[in-house]
Amino acid sequence: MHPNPHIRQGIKARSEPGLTRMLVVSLIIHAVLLLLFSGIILPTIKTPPKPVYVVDLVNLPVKDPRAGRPDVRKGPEKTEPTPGASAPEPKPEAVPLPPKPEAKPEVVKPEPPKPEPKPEPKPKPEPKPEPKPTPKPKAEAKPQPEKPKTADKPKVTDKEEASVTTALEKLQKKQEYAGVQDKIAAMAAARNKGTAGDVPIGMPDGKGTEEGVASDAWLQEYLKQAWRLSKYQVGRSDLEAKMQLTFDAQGKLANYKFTDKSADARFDDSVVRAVLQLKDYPVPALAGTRKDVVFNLKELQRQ
Amino acid sequence: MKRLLLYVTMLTLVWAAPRFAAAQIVVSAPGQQAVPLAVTTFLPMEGAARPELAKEIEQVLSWDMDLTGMFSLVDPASFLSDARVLALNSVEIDFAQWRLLRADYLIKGGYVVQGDQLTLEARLFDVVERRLLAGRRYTGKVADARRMAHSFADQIMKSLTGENGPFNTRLAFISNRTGHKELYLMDVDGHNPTRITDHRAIVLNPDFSPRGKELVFTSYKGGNPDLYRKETYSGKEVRISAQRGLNIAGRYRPDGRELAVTLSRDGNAEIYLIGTSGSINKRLTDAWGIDSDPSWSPDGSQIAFVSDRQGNPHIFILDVSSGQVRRLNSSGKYNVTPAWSPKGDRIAFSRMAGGQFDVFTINPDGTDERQLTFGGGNKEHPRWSPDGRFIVYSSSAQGKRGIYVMRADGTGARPVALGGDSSHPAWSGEW
Repeated sequence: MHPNPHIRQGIKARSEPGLTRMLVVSLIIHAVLLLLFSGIILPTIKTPPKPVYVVDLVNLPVKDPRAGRPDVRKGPEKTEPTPGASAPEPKPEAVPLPPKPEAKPEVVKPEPPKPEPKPEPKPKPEPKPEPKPTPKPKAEAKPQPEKPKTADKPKVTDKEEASVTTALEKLQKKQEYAGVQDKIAAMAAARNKGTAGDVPIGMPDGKGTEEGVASDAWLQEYLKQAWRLSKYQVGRSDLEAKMQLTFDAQGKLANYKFTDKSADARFDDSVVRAVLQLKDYPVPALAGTRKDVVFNLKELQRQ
Repeated sequence: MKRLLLYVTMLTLVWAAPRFAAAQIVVSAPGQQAVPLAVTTFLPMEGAARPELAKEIEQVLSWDMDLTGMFSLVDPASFLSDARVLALNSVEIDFAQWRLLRADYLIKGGYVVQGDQLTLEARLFDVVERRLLAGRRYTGKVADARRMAHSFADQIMKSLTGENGPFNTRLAFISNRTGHKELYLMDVDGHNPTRITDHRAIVLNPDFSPRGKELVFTSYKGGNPDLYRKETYSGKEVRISAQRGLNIAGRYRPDGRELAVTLSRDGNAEIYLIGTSGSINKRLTDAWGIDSDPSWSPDGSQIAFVSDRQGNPHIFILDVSSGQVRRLNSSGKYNVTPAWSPKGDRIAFSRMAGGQFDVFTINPDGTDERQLTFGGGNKEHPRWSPDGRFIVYSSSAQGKRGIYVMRADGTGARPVALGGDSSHPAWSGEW
């Protein structure tokens, strides 16, 4: 029994049966909330990630990127570790094919997953596209001097053109992938040589173990590059459309639908055209996923 | 107790639901704001090839498309074999080639020339979606090839923006290339300039009728600045207002039934409403200063005009039915030649500052003023294209005054008429 009568009264009040029940309920609520926050019951709960702007299309998208920076470059660029975006630069690096032989041995591994899920035929088609483009201009020039063989010309031209087209398509894709390969090689070289060894390579919000960009960030950058729309076409910058993209087991775009259309058919059409370009670009990291994408012109509003 | 647990569960679900939702990927701007377009050379569908004709059509289309600012033209030197194939439907076209060149849109076409008759087939394709967006067949004379190409450019605009383009229209302007200031007509790209008056006097201030191929203009032909109307299709010309003093700056009301015109019949220059035959219907302004250069709002309810009633020339807005007048803007010391855009959202005008005129635009409520032209020379007399996307004006940037066109935001300026001293352009409606 407490000597202070007021405290005694308080203890008496606390021991009332209704209050005990409330205390139990309160304890349960707190326990549930604690479990929710700790991630034991709902481990998938996480706050929406902030938009990532420093994204390079030539980095391989992965599911669990490492923490770090996505913009570490190879060669002399390492000396200037600028934090800016580096998206367009790697392409010109990849276009000249001569440096490839050097990179090839290092690059063999990352190559298979990207263009096609089946890695077997890949080593073979690699040499093909390179010799094919060279005969192309010759073949186109040939029909002119040949006078009598008018009937044969179209056949030869069609064949050659078809092969050239496919070869060029492959070459173009290959160049895109070559950019990725070069990037990976550069990242590996940087890690080995130690010039950029201190720089963590990954994503600013990465938490996993894989080298490369987060698939969401990659998708965001890819769609941005694929999206072409002139301000003169729509005439207003307050438009917004929302789409849901579904990817199949190979990471190819399987389906898309508008969850919210903008007020302008031209805007919506341009968005569809951007999304459609994902169809011929399988991304294993996106396999079996569903993504909600918002397209708007907020950056143009700021200009 | 059970009820409490239920509440707790519901609260937990409400709290957790948004966290289950997938994170949204936000793409906040297109990566490319000029859409790649490939314009191929048109090919003969029958008979002999006419490469000069095909080249001309290609040039017209390229010029028109470039002016829009919407496209980046794919370099024809990079075209592959499909550019040399007469394929006018989406099944026959090798879209893979165009994808390879990163073209989003593709223009193809063919022609047949029989004598002086020309048949033109033109197509616009969506390369990404592999489908036809617009297709037209034109028949006419070989000499009409440019008009056909301009007309298809209008169709392309219609297809990609929902609004008809202004390319198959005409520009009127005043030029002294014969030694006298006469009225001329030309295509939007400056081709086919044709003199349509022979007054051998001073001709001024043309304006197109919204109803058809006729214009009003002022001429000193009779010694006094009188107002004339001319039918371009028949050549018929009538003097419609010959009041004592000035009869200048006639502007058709958007319905085409009346004109606002500046008359000084009572000594001071005021704006009047007159019929198309010249009968005075109403006096619109009554101030001690000079009131001139009226320009109608697209709904015909208001007129922007210039007045020096407050000292220097400035732009005022007149409500036609109530007669109320307000000053458009307080900036600048010398604002003249207003032109209300056909969409009604902007008013273009010229301002003199530092001894030089430049073109500006402003909202009709006086907000959001923007300077469109810069650099040396006087840029004056702005007038809008019928779709409100472009502005034609006169500029002395290259010495003598010439006629220029630019986009409504001031970009893409280019000369279209540089011979002699050219000024006072006007842009026709659908031709």
